[in-house]
Amino acid sequence: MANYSTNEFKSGLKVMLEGDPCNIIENEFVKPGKGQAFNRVKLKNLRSGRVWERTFKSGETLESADVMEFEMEFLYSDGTYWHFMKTDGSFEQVASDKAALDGSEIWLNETDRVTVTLWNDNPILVTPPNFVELAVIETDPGLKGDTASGGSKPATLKTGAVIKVPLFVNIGEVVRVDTRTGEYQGRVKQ
Amino acid sequence: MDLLFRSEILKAVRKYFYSTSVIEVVTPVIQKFASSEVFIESIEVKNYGYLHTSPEHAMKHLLSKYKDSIFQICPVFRANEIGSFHKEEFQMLEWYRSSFDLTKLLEETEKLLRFVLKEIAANFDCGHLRFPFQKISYKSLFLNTFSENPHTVSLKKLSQLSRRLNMPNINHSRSEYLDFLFALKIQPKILTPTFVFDYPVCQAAQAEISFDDEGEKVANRFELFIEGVELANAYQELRDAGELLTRFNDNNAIRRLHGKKEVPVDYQLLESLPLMPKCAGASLGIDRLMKIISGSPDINRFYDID
Repeated sequence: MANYSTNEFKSGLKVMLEGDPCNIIENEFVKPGKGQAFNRVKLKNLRSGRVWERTFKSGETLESADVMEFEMEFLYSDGTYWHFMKTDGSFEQVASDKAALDGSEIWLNETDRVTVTLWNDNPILVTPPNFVELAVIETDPGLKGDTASGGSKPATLKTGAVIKVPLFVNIGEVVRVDTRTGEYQGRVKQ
Repeated sequence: MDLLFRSEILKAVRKYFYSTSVIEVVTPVIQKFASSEVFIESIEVKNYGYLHTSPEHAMKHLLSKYKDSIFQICPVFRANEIGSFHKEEFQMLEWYRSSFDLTKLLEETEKLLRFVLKEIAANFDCGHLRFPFQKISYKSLFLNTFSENPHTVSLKKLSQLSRRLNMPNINHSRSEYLDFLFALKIQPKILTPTFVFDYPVCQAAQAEISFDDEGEKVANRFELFIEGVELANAYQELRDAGELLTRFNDNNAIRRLHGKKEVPVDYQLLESLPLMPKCAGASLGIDRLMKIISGSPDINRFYDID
């Protein structure tokens, strides 16, 4: 497996640190006057999602991590595993456990395209699209014509996610949601 | 636009020195000897020598003959220095003032920058650089941040402080600990233009040793920091060849400790040194000056050729 030296570190590079695959976020070269150079590096642990800050001696190396991102279509969940299929025409499928989903399962709509991160061919991270469109399956009855009062109420979506929607939204309507914040963006006309 | 920017700065620098009768010199970029500094790596030119990491040695050789003030603007080369404040090739202004003491050179450095900024003010906004520049001793900065006297603090204490800041685990000399702590905790906070003076003796490089107000031995040098970036570096130049040889040998000892190749001693410099007039010398990074003035995030943009 290839090794990367600190001067090759750049945002997006995948490396192994303390046994976990990490994504480099930031790499700052620090050279005090005539002193020893070092690099202050911010990395995101792709398994835990935690951001680490580490100081490396310049010239130190880290092993590259066999991490690849694929666009995949979400097929279905059997309750224990979530199944995805590559969209590159290979029809290859992978099954992800709940840990890799890390809460994002509530945004997975069948046939939606997501980004699946594989480490040594195993899914470690599933990133849903930034915006998804999901039908409302449960909410209090809407107040007809109330599009201005600014109030909100909880609504359950078909995937089980519960979000806040304006009072006028009714069961059966499809809403657009930002998966990064869980915020309602608007109604989608069918 | 950047082309014009650099051109205007260089024109102003030259105008300043020419008006004060400092003559411009050119020394060879390829030198016989590699840098003697432990952590500055020269780029080798096979069968020829090394690209200079600074024109210091060659200019000192000139000084020993010409005896009067000189300046040079030239490209310098340092292997593996790559970052938003670093390039393996960058442009340096270096000047030596015959008969100056360091205080006078410090005043001149500020005067030079004031002059350059005024000269380019019509086309480039430099309003964010505040004059007069601040002055503070290395000791005060270190005391303020770590509550330790950098000249007397024990190696053990330095190691503890460094480890707490996640210093990579290798053999370290006193100077390396000080550099690490300074670079991580002190330097980023020096935002307004500030001269830092009276450095620890172990960081004397080619500066004379003197005594500070409290009678402590210090290296007679200063650095100028602006917005957390080291812009200039100056010495009261050492003229004692024996002392310099000792420092070169010490550097080689530290190189060995780090598993690096020893560097042959530049004996030509040792011969020139006693013939040099009393002088103070400074170097200033032109690309960093451009970065500071323009607020650009990266010095590499000044070299875009696409």
